[in-house]
Amino acid sequence: MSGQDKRVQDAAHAPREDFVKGPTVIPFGPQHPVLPEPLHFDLLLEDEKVLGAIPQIGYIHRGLELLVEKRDFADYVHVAERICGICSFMHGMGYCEAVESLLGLPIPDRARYLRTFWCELERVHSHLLWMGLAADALGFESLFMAAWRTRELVLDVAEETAGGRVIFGSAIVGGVSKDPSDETLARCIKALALAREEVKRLSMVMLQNITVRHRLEGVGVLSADAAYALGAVGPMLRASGRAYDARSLGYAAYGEIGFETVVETAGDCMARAIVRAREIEQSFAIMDKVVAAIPAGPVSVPAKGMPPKGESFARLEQPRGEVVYYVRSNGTRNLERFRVRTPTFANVPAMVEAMRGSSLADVPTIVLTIDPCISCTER
Amino acid sequence: MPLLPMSRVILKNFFSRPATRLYPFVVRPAFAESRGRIAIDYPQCIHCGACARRCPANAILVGKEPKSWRIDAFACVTCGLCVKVCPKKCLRMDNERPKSADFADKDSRVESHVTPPAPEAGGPNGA
Repeated sequence: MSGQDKRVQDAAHAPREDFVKGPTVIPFGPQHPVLPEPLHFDLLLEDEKVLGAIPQIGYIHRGLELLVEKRDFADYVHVAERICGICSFMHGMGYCEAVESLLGLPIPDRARYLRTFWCELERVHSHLLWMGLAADALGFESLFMAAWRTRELVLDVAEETAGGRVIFGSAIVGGVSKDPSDETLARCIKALALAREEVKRLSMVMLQNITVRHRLEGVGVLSADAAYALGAVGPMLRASGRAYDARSLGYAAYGEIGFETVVETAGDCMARAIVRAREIEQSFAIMDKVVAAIPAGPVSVPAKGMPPKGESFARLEQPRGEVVYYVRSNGTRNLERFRVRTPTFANVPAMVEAMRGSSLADVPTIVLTIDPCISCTER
Repeated sequence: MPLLPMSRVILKNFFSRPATRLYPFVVRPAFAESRGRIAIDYPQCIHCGACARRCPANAILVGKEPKSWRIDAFACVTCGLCVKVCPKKCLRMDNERPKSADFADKDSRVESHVTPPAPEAGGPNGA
């Protein structure tokens, strides 16, 4: 434990009268204008400077992992999808990938391509949601409205292809449950091209606006080594200069489609914003490629029999970073254990590190640029 | 950076209609694939119970005596599996989503159908 860490720990557990001498403790959250979900920090301040933060979660735990013992393994995907309202499809799909590898069940090519399409659709709508929230927190109301209006175009495509706006409900063990026709997909690509133009303009407005740059540049700097050592994932890690993206594992159809990992080197809030803006653009390109290359054929194979005794992992790249799914079976229709390591959970230590040394007014910006998803984190 | 990139949007906003609709008076037509709600053509139902057994959310209840079929719209996850397994194809997925006002009172979320028992021949109320 470094000297500063020790000071932070001591201050947190110090008797009340010692606070007068030590750093000021400011509670941040669980209710705060920038937080869409409850997350609490005890911020330890010296004047306006943040010495450290003690995060605390546990406000919205729902016990969804335990439900896997009570549900049929094929039905649990509906629960897995409801872990989060933003990356819902990827949660369902990650669970399916883990169970499919346990069953040794290869899924049809068309299903793999459709999964890739919906993953990227979800990434776009998640990043647009983030862009709106970030703009709102910075006081940029018109950009907030514009970003969410554009997000509606993307959600319409989701509803047209998968049947749901946010809970897609289309991932099932053995493939996907919806099969949009090629005409529908072509129509969707046209609608997405409109959104793409809009996003290009919005990204430019956000990233080149002088006020936004003043708020984000040089704030919450996280070095590449610190990001790696603290286990940061997703845009948080990539903005610090480490080119790591779980999509390069080649799950679903990423192996065939191919893509380039988006990396920025500055490691500050601005770099994280740039990574997300570039990822939206890249996601549109991936969706174009998927629709151009999608093979014909069935979209699902029946998942017959019990999952054999054993365990398996699946790793995906969610909008917020890498997520890990673990399933263990005891040979019955009910799995024994299901565990999700979500990206926000992995990013919290890195966020605390990024806050250190920043001023109190910058804390909301730093919290926002990790794009926290507390529902995922607590499940 | 182009000068005033949002100026086009501002000008457009002066002359265009609002991006939102006057919901619930103006409703966007649903897509063909939209997941709305499960509906039943009740006279066709043979009360086999396949839908209730397949339902992952236990939202459907099929009674044998007296013959009945009911669904809790709040428990339903609109996965559409009941529609797939129905042997008589009397279940369907409507793409129109119910309005929240339709569920204003607690009982309205449950759709229930009951077949009245046939009067027994020779019984006190029989023919």
